[in-house]
Amino acid sequence: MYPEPIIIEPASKTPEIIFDKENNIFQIRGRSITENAFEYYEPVKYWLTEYLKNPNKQTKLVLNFDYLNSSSLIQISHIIALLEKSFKKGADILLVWQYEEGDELIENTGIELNLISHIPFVTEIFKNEDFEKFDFDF
Amino acid sequence: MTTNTIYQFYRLLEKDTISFSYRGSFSNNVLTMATQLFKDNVEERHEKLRNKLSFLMIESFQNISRYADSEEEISLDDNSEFFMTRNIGDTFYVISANLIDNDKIPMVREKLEQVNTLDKSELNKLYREVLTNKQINEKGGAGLGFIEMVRKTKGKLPFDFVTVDNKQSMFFMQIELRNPKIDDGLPSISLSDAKQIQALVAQENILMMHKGDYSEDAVGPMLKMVEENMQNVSLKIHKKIFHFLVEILQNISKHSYALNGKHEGIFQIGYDHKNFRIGTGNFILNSKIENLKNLLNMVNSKTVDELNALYRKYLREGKITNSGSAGLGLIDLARETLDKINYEFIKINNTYSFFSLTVKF
Repeated sequence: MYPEPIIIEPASKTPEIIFDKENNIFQIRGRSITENAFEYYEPVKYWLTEYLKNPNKQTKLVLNFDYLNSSSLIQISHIIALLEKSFKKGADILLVWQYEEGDELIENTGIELNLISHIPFVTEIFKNEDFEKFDFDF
Repeated sequence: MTTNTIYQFYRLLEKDTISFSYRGSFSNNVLTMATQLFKDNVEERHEKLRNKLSFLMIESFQNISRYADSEEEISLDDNSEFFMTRNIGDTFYVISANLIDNDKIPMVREKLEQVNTLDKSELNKLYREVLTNKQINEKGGAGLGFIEMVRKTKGKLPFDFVTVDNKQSMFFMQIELRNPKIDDGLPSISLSDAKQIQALVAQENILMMHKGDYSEDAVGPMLKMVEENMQNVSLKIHKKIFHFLVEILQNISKHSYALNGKHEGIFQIGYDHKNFRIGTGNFILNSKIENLKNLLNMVNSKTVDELNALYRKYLREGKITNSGSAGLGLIDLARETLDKINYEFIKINNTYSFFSLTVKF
């Protein structure tokens, strides 16, 4: 519960999530293909709503997916909407969208999210070898 | 692969609780995943058979590589090898097919006929002989695999050779593993069934086919298997196939009509030298058809630009329904497929129909 940090380990269908106010780390990494995206992201959105009432000097959210299903994407768009609301009130927000070199699907999803949102948005390519691969065990 | 052939396949596999088939280039990876797939999905009452089944799958699979002659790199859409595991009632079948040089047929036939006629003690004797003797040929088998298959199943090994040309034939073999504790009373499936399925799989350019329960937790191992097997396909295609397979299978698990508590469905991945296709089939309540049809027709009638605009609108609004994404997945699918989303509804009775779909990448 807020203000305790959210630290969720990655699983076969859900990503790693770290939302840590004290250390100023906000990131979601890995695979989000759960059927129950709403339930999965609900506590994260709640935490973020609380955090954005009194955010850090700068908030940088790093999103790094290798797969993202449509129900998770909707949840990510909700998270972005929360950031946008806060940005419009003057908070310093940056969204970093990372994708693997050659992964057009995730790249294009980033382009689309950038198109529909109104917050500072940067995209970054990362090479696969830079990334410690999660061992997904279904 | 067409929406109609998906239904034909479904009918051929109607009695299968789970079935999985694979055509093309074989690696141990496929084997590991196929074994895992069955291990994870075999019903509890067959628990004791799990290890035996894995063993037989491995033996059968390795037999393919032992007798297959091709030293060349096998391409993705090669017709030279076929592997299938089926669970029907309380019986498991492991079917293999591979090309074999015609001059090797007498040797293989002799070994199989021998193990098929021996009784238990004769088999044990032969087993020990082969193990201790020097009669090991350069391919390392000496029929030990066949002996083991017969010993483990306590049955015969049906086999056949189908001539391809004057040099090679297709060698079919079927292992049948019955649960000794449960007699389902069902007659054995004949080898000709397997030959029919293999021929259709080759004709329709299907690489991988699975039929089974698409309830939420049954989807995971299969997705993993597809992902592992798509590693040598370009990242772009591999990601696309996996991405849309997730969407489609999750749709089946959410919206399909459950018969006896199971969301029965079939899925296929095909490759026709140029394009990949995903095909799926499942049951749907007749009362749901109208809505689904409207949605499919709507996305099929739009241009890519219109779909992009619609996609962004949906995303912007961020609406969710019980289905999780309110059609976002379908819009995404429509704009990525190289063709329209092909679909068909085949009425089964007054309650439900068979819904099949194919998309091309």
